[in-house]
Amino acid sequence: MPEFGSGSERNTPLTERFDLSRPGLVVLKTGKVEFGQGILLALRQIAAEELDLSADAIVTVSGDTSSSPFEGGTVGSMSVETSGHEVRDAAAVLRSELFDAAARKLDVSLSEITAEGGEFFVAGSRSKETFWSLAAEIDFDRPLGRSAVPKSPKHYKSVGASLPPTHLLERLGGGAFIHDLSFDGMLHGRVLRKPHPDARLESVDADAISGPGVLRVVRERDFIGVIAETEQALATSMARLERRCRWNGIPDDGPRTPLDILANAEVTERVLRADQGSSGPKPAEDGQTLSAVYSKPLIGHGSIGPSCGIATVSDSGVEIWSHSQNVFALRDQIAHVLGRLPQDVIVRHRLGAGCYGHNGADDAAMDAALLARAVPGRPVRVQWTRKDELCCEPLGSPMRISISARVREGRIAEWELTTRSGTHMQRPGWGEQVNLLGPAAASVEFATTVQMDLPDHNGGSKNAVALYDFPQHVSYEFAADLPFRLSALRSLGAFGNVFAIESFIDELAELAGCDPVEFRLRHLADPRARRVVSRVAEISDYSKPCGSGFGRGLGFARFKNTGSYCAVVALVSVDETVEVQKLWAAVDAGLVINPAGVISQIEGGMLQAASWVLKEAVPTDGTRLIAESWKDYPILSFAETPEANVEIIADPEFPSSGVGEVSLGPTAGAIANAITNAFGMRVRELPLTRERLMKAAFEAE
Amino acid sequence: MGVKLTVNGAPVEVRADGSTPLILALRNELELKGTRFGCGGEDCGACMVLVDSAPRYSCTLQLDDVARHQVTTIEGLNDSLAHVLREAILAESAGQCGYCLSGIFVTLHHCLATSAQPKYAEVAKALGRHLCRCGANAAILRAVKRALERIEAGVSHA
Repeated sequence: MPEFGSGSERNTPLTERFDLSRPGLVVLKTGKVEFGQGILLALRQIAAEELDLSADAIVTVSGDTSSSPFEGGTVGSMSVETSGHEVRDAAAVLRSELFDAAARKLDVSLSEITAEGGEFFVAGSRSKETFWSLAAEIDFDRPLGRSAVPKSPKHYKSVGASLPPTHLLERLGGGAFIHDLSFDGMLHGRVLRKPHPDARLESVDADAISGPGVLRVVRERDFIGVIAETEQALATSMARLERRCRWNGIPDDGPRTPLDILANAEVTERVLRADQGSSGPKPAEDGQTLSAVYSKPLIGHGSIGPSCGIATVSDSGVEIWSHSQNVFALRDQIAHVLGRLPQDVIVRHRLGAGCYGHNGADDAAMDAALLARAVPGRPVRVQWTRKDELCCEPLGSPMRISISARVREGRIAEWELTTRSGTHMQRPGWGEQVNLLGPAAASVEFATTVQMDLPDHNGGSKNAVALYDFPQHVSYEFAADLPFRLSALRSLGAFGNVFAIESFIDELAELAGCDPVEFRLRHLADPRARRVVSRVAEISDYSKPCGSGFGRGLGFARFKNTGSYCAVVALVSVDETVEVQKLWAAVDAGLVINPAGVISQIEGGMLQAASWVLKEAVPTDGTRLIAESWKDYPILSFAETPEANVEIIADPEFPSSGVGEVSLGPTAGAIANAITNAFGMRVRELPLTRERLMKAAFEAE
Repeated sequence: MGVKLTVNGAPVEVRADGSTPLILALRNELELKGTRFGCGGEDCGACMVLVDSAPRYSCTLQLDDVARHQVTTIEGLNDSLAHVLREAILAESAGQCGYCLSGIFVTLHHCLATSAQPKYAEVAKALGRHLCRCGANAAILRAVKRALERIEAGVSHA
């Protein structure tokens, strides 16, 4: 299930998808947005394939609420699955309409016509007609319908071929990112973030903030920000502002960690699957039993570029530039907060730095909109600081996963899993709340009061049910009042759940005295699952012994249990440091559009997961977030980067499934199992730092 | 008021206070937007430029620090060595969002340009000043290997 219902375009006309007014080019309009994952290239390839054009002839208009089709957010690794499908169908309709028009105009039968590069040929000879000469003959306003049959994958030429990411080179220079936009009369603004969600602004000496280049100090209840002529004047005045604001209401809630808070939180329990009772395996029965508790901490997005947004507010309307994942939802919330009609607000997407979920992009755009009200008609640019990013972006929820199981005659006979988590969804508009920092500080009316997770098998319970064939009892304990700002971060609950499941499968394999790969295959009937597990074991020499201090481990999952299959093997060394030396993955994502894009996403997911597993936990003091810089929240460095090797098992018989989030959980399982093999002991609490391993060894003595 | 320096080979006078961070002068006064702001604290390397051929963080340097010096940004790296690097990035899909890549490119160019026989380990070590969050690190390191192979095979960067 997508995080937000994706818009359907079944009854929308061709004009909402394509524009042929630029000779030689086909403009493809999409509501999906690019954030480094390569979706626009994949969509161009799909359209190019149906139209027998080169991908270079397809240009995209993306994520503009005034001209793109409504397609919901670019979320949940759904873009190729859903939008790719819709683009293919629409392009097939366009092709069929163009061919019909050509047959009419050239007075020949359809079977005599071919097209190449947008030019029509009759019995092999070039005619004077092209896609563009015939565009006027087509009714672009007629609803699309589904009459045209897309090409058979057997005839694909462009789809399935790796295209070089030339956009990367274009981004080396200036101009590619939202941060690079500049408008006449543009001002620079920033909001001073509350030091804690409960903090109240007691007093501020606003006069002391003024100085050269400072245009306005904007205050509304606890919302306080500055608008300045230059970034430099802004930085200077923000430093003054920070010293001149007095806050109260910051709770002193002791040394509890987010996981302590989660462990003691009130929860509501939902049973996700009940093949068996929930009393857990009784030791008195035959076979062997085992129980374990795993956890993952609060983690952050940590995009290298800070969140940025630009807004112009005037009587006639509101214009926003944002790197939001969902320009439509952002538009609606900005309209709501500013008291405007949605059609008076235009949100245009521009590339931000890497996006891995619901980060500060929407907040920065809303900050800009709130500040821009003070200077009607002038664009206000907001760019967060690194500290804002570390302390104010929404975070990935802490999780605690308890599993117990019985192994009988080499098989898992009983399995009971309980996963506990806060919400993984607090996007703008979710739960009919604004869910943005600026409005919440400015007015109680816009505060988030209810935390609500995604439906079952998504959010915190994503991949809580194991794909393996054994009887399971699985429940979800949802903690609705965690004192942290939590929302969607790459793979949501799947990361924690798969980490726990794959770790425990290895623990049970050892209990059963069975090789972990063989043990998995014993419980996996699904041939696609078996294939990725077997293949990754093969390419990684999984069964080959490795030297002392080294270990290999495997992790597997099918994302959402309905998406792509991914198995990962890690080779690690544990000595003075814990190092991941090498990672291998085998992935089955059905029909692959752009193999280089798939490899890039899988590999990126593996390395990000390695960073989460080895290093990351958001530092807190009670419920206060305290990171000041990257030094307080270190991520995987180049020196710590393992080699990575991805093999795609492409089967065009199966529909495309997303790959952006599939490798993270399996990588966590693989690294945890590899560390256990190298170190001889298992640590079940992420991150798996050397200090944790040493502590475990010390406690075992 | 004005600070004189040389940027990408051309003398310029920036009309801004001498305490202005170099990155803001480059991006906002000189419209050289390829230099990226990441952290403002020398942790991520997105803002790397060359000052008299040495890689420096432009977020903590002030204009006064570079007065009468030579500053080179990503926009100024267009020689044959830059071409080899670009080709290697393309061949290895070495990047995802690309935000960190300008700074990394500057550092790599410096490493390859200043050593007669650059070693992989040295170049990889120089990347310790940079962060990438998309997980393109491994692909970027593969691009480094590829570029070194090309250079070793005699693709001159003179």
